[in-house]
Parts: sequence; structure tokens; C-alpha cells
Amino acid sequence: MPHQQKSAYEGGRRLAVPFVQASNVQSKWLEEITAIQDLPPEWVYPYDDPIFATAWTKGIGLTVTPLGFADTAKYIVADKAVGLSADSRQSLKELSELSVGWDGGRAKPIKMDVLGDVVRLLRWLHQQPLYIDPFIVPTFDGRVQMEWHDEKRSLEIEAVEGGWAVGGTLTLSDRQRVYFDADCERRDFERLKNFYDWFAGRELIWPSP
Amino acid sequence: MAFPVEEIPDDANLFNRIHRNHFPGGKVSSVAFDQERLSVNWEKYRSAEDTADTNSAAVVALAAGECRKLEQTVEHAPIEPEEPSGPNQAHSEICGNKSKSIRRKLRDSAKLVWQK
Repeated sequence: MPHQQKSAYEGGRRLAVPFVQASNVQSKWLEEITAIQDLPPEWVYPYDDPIFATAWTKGIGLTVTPLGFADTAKYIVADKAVGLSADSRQSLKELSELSVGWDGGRAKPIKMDVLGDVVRLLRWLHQQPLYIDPFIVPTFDGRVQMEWHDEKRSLEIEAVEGGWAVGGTLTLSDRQRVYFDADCERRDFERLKNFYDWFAGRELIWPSP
Repeated sequence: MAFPVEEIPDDANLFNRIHRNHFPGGKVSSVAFDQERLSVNWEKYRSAEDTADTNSAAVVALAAGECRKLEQTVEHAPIEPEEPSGPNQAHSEICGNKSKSIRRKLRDSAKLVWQK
């Protein structure tokens, strides 16, 4: 089915979103998308960098219409995820669809800005040699944790308020375990790469501040 | 008559159901233990199988003594018949702040006792 696209302009930037039904259009919708959804500025595409939301349907398979603001945020995150593996995209899709109480209790749906940052980080790590996909699991407070495990080492990067909480576990030859912890700012990808390098065995010592 | 609240011995097993979202690739995620008051079932009154629900991918057993070593308290908190989710005489809670490393230690001390 051909897909329609609607664009909005503000301050020389264009936000490209899938077609929005007239009934869904509310006043100040651009502000709502960028402010209430708490989208980082990088998600608002520059004028000369159009995106095509059809990538969602090809790469992710999300429902196309009708679109509310939350759906629009999903589209933007998924568009960014196109370069990731099919497994990662499937995980992100499933996470984006969790609703309130997905655990049978009080768990919150996943925040789209968190998924956006996860996509950015994974796209960046994806460029590293010998990259492997993490497991991505939802936390009860509406965020996610990425996990990598092998025989000797495991790495967890959890989205927390304002950044990432990073945990490493080293299993010694006598099966004893050593636990490491660190905090990292949300956009400090260089430091996050150091933790991934530790997991991958390229760094022998846990990266400390 | 209300269920008596009992002292849970250190060698008692406490069953924790693992949601399918927290069992990726057949591994228990530490996220599963991220609750200030983590609900579990004491093996004295309920089996691992009966602890699982429709969303569970697995059930793990935590030793009460191991939880206490990790700065947690273990409380028997039976649910009476007239309460939501009741009756459940096995219901207990592992209480305390669960930092990221404590969650991982709980995960690593847990034994997989049931899997879908």
C-alpha cells in the first residue's frame, strides 16, 4: 500500500512523520511531539535529510495508521533502527508495544526517548569489530536494560534517570564472581564503548573513571 | 482464622516467577529482581510449578539465607482469602534496596527450578 508522508517545518528544520489523519491533528502538534514526547533535538531531521516512514513497515512491521503522537514517536525511533539487526529491531518493536501493567502488575510502558537513545547507542556499537547484539529487556519503570553474556564476562547497560548504570560481572576460573559498577552520562558513547570493549575482551581491566 | 506469620529459616527456598520478558535467550535478567519488596512463595506452602503464572517463562529458587547475606530481610507475608490474589499462605517478600550489584548477586545465586 503506498504510504503518505506529512512534513512540518519549524526553524529551518523539518520533522518528517507518516501521514496523520485529520481527526488526530491537534493544535501545536509539533510542539507536543518534540516537547511532551521529550524527543531529543537529533530526532528532528534537518531540512535536507528527509526520512521515509515506509522504512518502518519494511524493516519493523508496525501498524501504519491511524497515528497519534505516541505512534509518531515510535515511527521516528524505528526509522533510526533500520541499520540494526532483525533481532534487535524485533526486540525494539516488542518493547515499544508494551502497555501499562505488562508484567501483570504496575510496570510502565517503555519511554520512547529511552528507546531512541538505545537505538543510537546500538547503531554506534554496531560499527565496532566483532559486535554482537544484546538482549534488551524492559525494566518496571519504563526503561530498558541491554545485556551481553558470555562464559567469563557479562555486561549490563541500564537506562536510568539522566544516564546509564553499567554493571560488569567477571567469572574467575574458580567460579568466583567479581562485580563492577559504573555510571555514565546518556550521550557518553565513547565511555560506553570502553565497557563494551571490556566485555569483548579488548580491555582487560574494568574501565574506571 | 488468619494465617500465622512464621519465621523463615535460612535454608528455606523462596520461589520467584520470572516474566517471559526477563528470560531472554534462556537467561534470567537481573531486572527480574528489581523490586524493593520482591514477592516470592515459600516452598513450605507452594511448589515451583504452582508459583508460575501464564506470563512466566521460568521459576527460580532463592535461599533465604543468601538473601539475608545481601542486606535483605525476608518476611513471611501470607495473603488472606478475602484479600486480592488470596489465599496464599506461601507469600513472602524479600525486602530492601536492591542496587545493581545486589540484583546481579541475587540473579547469580538463584537456581532455575522450573521452565516453561
